[in-house]
Amino acid sequence: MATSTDRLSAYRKQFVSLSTETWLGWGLLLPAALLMGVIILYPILDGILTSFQARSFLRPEIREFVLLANYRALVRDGVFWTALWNSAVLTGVSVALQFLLGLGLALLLKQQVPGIAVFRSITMVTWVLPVIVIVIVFNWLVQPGYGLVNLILAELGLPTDYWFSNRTWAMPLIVLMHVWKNAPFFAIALFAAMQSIPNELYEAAKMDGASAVQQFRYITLPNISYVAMIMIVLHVLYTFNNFDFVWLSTGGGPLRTTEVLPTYVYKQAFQQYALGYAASIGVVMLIIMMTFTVVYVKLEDFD
Amino acid sequence: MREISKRDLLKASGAAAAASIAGCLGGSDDQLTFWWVEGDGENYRDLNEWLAETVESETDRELEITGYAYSDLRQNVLTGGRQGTPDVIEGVIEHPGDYVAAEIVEPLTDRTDKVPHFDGFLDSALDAFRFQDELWALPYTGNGRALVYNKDILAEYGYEEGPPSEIGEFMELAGTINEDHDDMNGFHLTTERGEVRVTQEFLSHVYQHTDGPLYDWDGDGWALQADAGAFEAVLGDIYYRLFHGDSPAAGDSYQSAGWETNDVGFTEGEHAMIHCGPWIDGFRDTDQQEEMLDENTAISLLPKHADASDATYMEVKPLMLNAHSNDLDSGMAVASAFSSPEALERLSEIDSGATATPVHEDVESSIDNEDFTAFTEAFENGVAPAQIAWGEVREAIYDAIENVIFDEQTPAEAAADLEAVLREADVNLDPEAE
Repeated sequence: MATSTDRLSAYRKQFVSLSTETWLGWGLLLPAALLMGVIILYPILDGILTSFQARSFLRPEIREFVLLANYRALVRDGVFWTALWNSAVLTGVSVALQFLLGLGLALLLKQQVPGIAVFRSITMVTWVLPVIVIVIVFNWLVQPGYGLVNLILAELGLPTDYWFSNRTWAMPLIVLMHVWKNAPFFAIALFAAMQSIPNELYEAAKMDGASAVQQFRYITLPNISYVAMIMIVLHVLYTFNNFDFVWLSTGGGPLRTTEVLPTYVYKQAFQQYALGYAASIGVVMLIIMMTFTVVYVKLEDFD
Repeated sequence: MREISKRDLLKASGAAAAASIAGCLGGSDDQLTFWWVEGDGENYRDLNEWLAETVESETDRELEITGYAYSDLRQNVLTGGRQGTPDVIEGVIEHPGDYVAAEIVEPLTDRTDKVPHFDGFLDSALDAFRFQDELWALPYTGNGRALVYNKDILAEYGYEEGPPSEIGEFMELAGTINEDHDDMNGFHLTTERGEVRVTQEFLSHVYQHTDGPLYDWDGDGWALQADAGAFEAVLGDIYYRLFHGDSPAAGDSYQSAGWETNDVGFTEGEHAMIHCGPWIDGFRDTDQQEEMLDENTAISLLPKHADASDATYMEVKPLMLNAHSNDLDSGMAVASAFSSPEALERLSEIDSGATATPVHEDVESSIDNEDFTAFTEAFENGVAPAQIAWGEVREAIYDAIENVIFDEQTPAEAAADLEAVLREADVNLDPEAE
């Protein structure tokens, strides 16, 4: 009997202690949780709610529930599917090129040659340039008549064009601008990861007779994969959600060949005032990005 | 010297953030706010200072002037205007409709007696802002779209008095010039998706067929005034022939080109004829451009079909009062001062194009070149766009133009699609109206 009372008392003490610690923990977390709720959760939930409503940008206080009408319209909207495809292509090609070029550049930066420090600094210049500056530079370069690219092409007897208005070349130009801006950041991040690989690993591999390619495949790549994964995830999110490059250079044209989901959301929300419809596109984008992030993190065994 | 520690840096950042937040939340009650596109323009500093001083002397309130690009300005007004800032809003001709629908601007009808120069405004300029039985804005500058041409080139082809007014003959001439000159287009206008000029130029020609706005209020709602026939005429005889047909008027590389290519290109001798407004006179960065504008440029009305009128797109800039301002009287003093003949004379010294076709009879036209006087006639023929929701309409116009200039659709197909979309478009700005 006495044993059972002692055990009960010990359990009670443990429970009180646990609950006190837990409540204290909750108490400490509460302000941060509230702040997160207000600045992150509320806008997301409101966005999701708006996607089920007819709501105008001019009178946002008037909300009318239309259930799935916005999503039904989305399925029948050809421009939405074009924009989704273009977003996927832009993201896939840009990030792949940024990674490959960044990796190549990182291997180059790793070389111990005179002047490499200056080269490393210069490499970062495009990354720090504002998007608007990059677009203006590219826009003037490809102007018909007086753009440098066209002047050179004309001098060589090749056909000239306003390349942003060319249905074949508009999207590659936007990809090029993304790569031009972001590949150096990939390079620096991968270079930093490479610097942290112990030299002994390479020395041991050399002693075992591993070739340069084998060293890269079995030492370098596995050791930079974590950083590479983070970079790829971040840049997929950035590129898929990127608005300014496309908007400032082509506005989604010509013939919607560069229309992407962010520009389409903008047009729906701020030009056609269809906040509900724009929100439904936003929710689709959110689902795609969440899915991508979860799948990618699982695949890479993030833990 | 004392080193700055991380803790110092953090403290300084915290203080800066707190000061910024205080700055955002604060703001003196005595300060009036005015947003206009050139609010931050270095060239306009004297005008802005004069306006602030004038308003302060009349109202005892300090005036804070801020500059925004029009798209940002509109968004900021629509999202934050209900908080009462800015007190006074400048914009483009399509903005008042948006703001009225959002219940952001105040009707001025009963306040016009506070504007000493009100009787001098041209009726056509005021009419652009009269709808729903109220006057919603004061005009301060305006223009009408016309044809700007290279006199020397046209003289080569026997057109000393200006280009032909009939559109068939006009495009034929443009095609011939383009064919004869390797480095010059016969005719050029903007066709870049998203470019506001594209719709303005397209509408100029549509108005020739409607002789009025694209949509008119018929008592029950907005009714489309143009049909596929009018659209086909414009798309076929101008936009298709611009790049296609036996004798295109411009080179393929100019497909989807924007305003820079159009305006700067003309002053640099790339085009024989372009669509433009009086601001063309401001492109004087090089000797070549000055020579072109002073000696070799003249203006005529836009070409048209034989059965069409001389109508063209009219642009008038509005000054509006924020209905949520806590001092509408002082706001009216700002709008009154900025639209006064004195302010317009000052504006003219900075940008002569702003008063080339003045909206006030007490302001003299800045045009002193006889070859430029057709701008005045164009303004008189100008049609102000209807106060509708333009988003869907603009997108449909871009689609039609792109499909034609890239030869994806025939002008007839594009015109039929355009009419169908515009007829079905929800152009009503009032979300509660049916």
